[in-house]
Amino acid sequence: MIITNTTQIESEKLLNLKFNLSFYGCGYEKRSAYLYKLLNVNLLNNFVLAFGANQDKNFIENLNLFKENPNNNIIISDGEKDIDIYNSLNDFLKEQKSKEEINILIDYSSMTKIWMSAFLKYLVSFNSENISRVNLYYSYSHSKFSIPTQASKHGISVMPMDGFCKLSLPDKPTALIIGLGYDKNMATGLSQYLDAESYIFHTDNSYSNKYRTSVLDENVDLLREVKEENIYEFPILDINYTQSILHSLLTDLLQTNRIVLAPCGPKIFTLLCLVESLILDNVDVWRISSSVSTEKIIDKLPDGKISVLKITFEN
Amino acid sequence: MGEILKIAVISDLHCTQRDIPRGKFTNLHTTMPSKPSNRNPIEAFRKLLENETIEADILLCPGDITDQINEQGFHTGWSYLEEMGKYLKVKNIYATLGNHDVASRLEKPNEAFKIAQSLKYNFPLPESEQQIKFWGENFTLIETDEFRLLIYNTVHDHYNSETSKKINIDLATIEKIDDLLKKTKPEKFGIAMTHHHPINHCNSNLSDSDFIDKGDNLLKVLNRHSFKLFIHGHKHEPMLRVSNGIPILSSGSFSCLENLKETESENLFHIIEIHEKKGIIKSWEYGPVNGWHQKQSNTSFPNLTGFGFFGTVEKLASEINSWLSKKASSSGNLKMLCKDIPDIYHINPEEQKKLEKILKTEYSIEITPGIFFGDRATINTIYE
Amino acid sequence: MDTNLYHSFNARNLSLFEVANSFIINSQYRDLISLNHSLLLGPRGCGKTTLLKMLTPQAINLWNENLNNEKIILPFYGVYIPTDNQWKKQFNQLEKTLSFSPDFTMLISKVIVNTNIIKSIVSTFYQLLENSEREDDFYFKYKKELCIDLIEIFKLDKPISPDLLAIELSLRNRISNVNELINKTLITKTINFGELPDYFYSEFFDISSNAFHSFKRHFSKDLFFKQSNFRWALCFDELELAPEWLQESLINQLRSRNDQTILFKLTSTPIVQIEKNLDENTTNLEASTLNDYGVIRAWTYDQSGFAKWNEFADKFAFERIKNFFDKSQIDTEKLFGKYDIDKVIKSDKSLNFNDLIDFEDNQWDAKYRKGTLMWNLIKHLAIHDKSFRGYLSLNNISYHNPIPRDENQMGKIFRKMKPIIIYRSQFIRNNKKRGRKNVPFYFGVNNIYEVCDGNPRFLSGLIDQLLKTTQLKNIEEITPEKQSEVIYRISERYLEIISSHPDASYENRGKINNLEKLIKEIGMFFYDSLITNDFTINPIGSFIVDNGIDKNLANLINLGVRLGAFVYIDPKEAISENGVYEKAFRLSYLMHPYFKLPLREYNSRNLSYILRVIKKSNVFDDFNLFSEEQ
Repeated sequence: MIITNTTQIESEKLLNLKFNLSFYGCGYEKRSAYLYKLLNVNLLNNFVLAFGANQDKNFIENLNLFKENPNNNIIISDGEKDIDIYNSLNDFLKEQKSKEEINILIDYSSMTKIWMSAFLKYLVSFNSENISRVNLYYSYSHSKFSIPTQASKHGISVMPMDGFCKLSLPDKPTALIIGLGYDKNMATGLSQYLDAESYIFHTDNSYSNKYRTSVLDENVDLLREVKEENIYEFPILDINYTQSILHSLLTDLLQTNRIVLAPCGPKIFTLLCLVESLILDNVDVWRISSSVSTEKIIDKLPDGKISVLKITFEN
Repeated sequence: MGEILKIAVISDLHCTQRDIPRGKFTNLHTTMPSKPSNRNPIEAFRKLLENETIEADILLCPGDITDQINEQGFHTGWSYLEEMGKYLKVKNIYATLGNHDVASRLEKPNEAFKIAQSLKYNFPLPESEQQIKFWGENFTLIETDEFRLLIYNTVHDHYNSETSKKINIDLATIEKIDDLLKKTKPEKFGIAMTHHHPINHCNSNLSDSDFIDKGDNLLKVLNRHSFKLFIHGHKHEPMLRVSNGIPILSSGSFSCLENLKETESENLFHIIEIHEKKGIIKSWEYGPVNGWHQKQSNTSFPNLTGFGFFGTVEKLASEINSWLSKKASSSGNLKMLCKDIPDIYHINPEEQKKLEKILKTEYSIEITPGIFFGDRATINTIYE
Repeated sequence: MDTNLYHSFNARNLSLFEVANSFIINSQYRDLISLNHSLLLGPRGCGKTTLLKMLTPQAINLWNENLNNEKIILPFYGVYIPTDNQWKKQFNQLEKTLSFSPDFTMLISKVIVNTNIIKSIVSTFYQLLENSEREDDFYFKYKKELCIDLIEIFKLDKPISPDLLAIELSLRNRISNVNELINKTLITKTINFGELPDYFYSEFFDISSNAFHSFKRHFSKDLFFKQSNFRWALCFDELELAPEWLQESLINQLRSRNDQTILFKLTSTPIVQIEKNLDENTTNLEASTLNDYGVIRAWTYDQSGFAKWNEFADKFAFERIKNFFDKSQIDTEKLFGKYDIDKVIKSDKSLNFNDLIDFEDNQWDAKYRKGTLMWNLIKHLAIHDKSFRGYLSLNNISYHNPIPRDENQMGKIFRKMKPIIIYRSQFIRNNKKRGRKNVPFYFGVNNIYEVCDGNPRFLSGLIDQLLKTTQLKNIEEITPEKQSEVIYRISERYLEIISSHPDASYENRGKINNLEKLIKEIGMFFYDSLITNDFTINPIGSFIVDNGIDKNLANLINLGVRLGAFVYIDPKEAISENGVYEKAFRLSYLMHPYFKLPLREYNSRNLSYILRVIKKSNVFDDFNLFSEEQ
């Protein structure tokens, strides 16, 4: 299947939609269960992906909440593996007979990049005569600002994301587009590693100026080194607009470059990067991670805002 | 009439203030730093003209200079057009109103056109007589030694939200136009310009109810009087089609971002070169990194297309085949081909695709990478 | 402060037009254009890509169009073949994804590499043929026949237009097809080797050779190519990023004489490490350099190298400054001045030397006679540094009147200890360490060139930063303090950038070891040797990677060499099975300001010894190089 449309929808509309499947991430963040509680979903096909590690008090609370509904399928899963998602999707979709449209809700607020990308990866190689359209509703619960942990300077590893990277010829230079987050050294390191012309995306002050300021402070050196015209601000609550800026930049750059997207910041931006990588050729998405885990766990409380992106796949 | 007439078309600027909600729907703002230049469409335009010789005799703007009747946007938008006109070295700028240039939502009929009518002495037309006609009769005809330009104001009755739902031209006006055109010289190249489209123009899933009612009647009249080109704005999706014998150019948008994603279009402007009733349209697209440039790929609207060819594509393909057969190498380029068969550049995008397909399937001839590539495109018999 | 060390002037991102416009001919280029194979070695930013790109027909034409340029006529046509880290990572990913079939992975790797080479050849043919704007029948005929040959040689899908652009498009489609095949294989987990297209089994050398011969066959009759000898150079950039099988194959090619119409011009890091089997003759590459192969080292490790670098840097700086001020004649010396020890000493208010005498005769001891600045400085240091006083006594030099006895002593002792004295005098008072911030050690035209250590990218970044401190209207000399401050900051930022490299760390028994820590340990040791420890006229300023260093650390050092943090100072081997082992290195001079070291190369010591000493001393944790005077 291929992506035929993406559009932001108002979170209130989720209440009126019927979902065939839904997926939630269950972690230590309080916002893990925020959408679930809001929607009060009572589906047969709820899947809850619960992190195997870091099972602290918050996590147990969230897990117990999900367990209250005996219909929920709780899967203790590894955040670095997508096999459980694949199996769940596979089992469900293969059973469907003559369905015009399937709606799947994904609350990716507490999901890892591997998990949130797994749905897209699966559908790209999915083919069925019985189903003509699959709509993924990616829902993200925003959180109140919390002071970030000090990012590790060392032990950084970079690698293309499986399923979002193809072989290409190195006949054009690389353009690196970084979604700025708190991991300043990761962004500098990757920029240096690829020896690429760098473009920076960071949130504007339309939503959380505290977050914006703290990210800019964290990355002040990198921002000084990147050309002014290569820095883009985006309004995190307006996904359509953000996607249009990103898409416009990518299509222009692709005339003379190959592209690596390295989303280090907000997951909404990460999701858009994954989508663009599937829509356009020669656009890879890379992951940057630190092998040194930060000891402090930061809880994220929901602030009430939810952003939803609908991604439509068709044959 | 051996001279080439060059027309620049810049449409749907939607210029407005940066810091209002609608500001993010356009790349053109009332305040814009000149650097970085590629993020400023006007600066990028100036840079393009610094590096390439692009000139025009006249500049046409089919409306929507501002966005939602933003007054500052209107003034600045018009001054941007004047600035670009200077860079292009045009003799005159001719514009019309778009639906965004009228305060129809104010629900005050007397004030709907207030800003437009008092914008500047040369808006929307350079001479006061032309303006009197435009405001009074909702159309005007400009006749010079080289061309006839008919401009019809499709928003002339957009006094309120109710009346602005309809776009039309009444029969009386069509008759007036017809009578006026009878007095003109048909050998002069005829161009018509409106904001809205004269016939149906569906794009993507968006509905289309705002074409000009009785627009096809207008087209018939224009065709009778040997008008050879109809230019409109409004749809933000560039397109070139023929209806009632007249090529219709939807000029797309210079800087508005609305509907681009749905129609897979880009912001662009055009330079039309007209020679002996036929034309070549060259288009430049805008990108935040490359500024204004001619795309080197065959997606969306081609950067080189044309109009005025009224033969059949099948015959054209046959002529090309004969031409190539006479070449010892069965090989050449479009520059050479065009000298003998100039019509290769006077076909619209649909005809280009059809021609390339016929050449390939029936004659085993390929133009690489495509007609859009211009003079440097090569033409060969296919190797099997 | 902007520090644009790695983003400015990166030839990878420049068009051929931009490369040709900014190019300055240097001795490395003259070596590179000789009619033999070449192995051009150097760290990142030393100009390898620029030099290779200047071997391509289009770049040469653009260069020659400028009548002010010295005309270049190359005895071959250069085919530039790029590679980069993104590509390397894609291959790594491929290996991981297809780990169940290494044979298939190898085939895919070969197809992609071959396609890259073929595409580069086609691009070069395009440059040669399409820029001429010819319309004669012969031209089209020869071109078509060439393309037909290429279609067969490259085993392209038919039907296809016999046109270079069509061939290029077909090659891109090939990559898409390969990606599709990989996806199918991942799902089905089966590979039918017999059904793979023929091009999977091509060898790059054969197809390149056939393509070149075809070009010659068709165009040798053409008047436009009357002067051509139809020789080609396959210019592989960044060999260290290519798949290992390709590296070995290319290194072996350097020794072969199969097809004399094809030269190989390879670039790589200062030390090319090949672990697998090589022809035994290949490792003796150095011995053959006088014959068929040139090893060109694009970094500064000896006097001659520095002299050539200074000559290049002068021209480079001149152009940069000219563009900045938009004026034709601006003297670099006018802006940056000359290095003068006077200015360093005068910046230290605590050194009150009265009634200094300046002898203007050119005698060998003019600068060291009684009453001169150096004489006063030596005396001053002898008072404050007991170990130095001891050294003087040992050499029968009076510390009341420290004048050289004869020319021999002048050369062996006085001249040699001069930079050490200057540095020690700034950091030692009353036999104790003394912190000083921003001592203006680094200023003046020659120092600016030297601190960039043969690296045009550093020079470009540094000059840009220095120029930003000037006024556009009133062009005045930038003060030594200002220059030093800029250089200190760049040095500091350079270290940060290097340490953020993804490969700059590894984990060992739960502990993270990284390149930044290693550099700091080495730098501190050198600093101690020069300043903290007892005076010696032979401080330690370089290290040898001995067998006491484990493999992971050796890899870090190799990365440091590649990034330009470490400079290989006794280059005996271009290709080595040992890699960095048994070789001597110093810190890049761009690192020296961070550690307050003079721009000099000093004696070597085993690295394992250095690290042992530093670990014991714990000085590394306590000492803050940027602390103010106590």
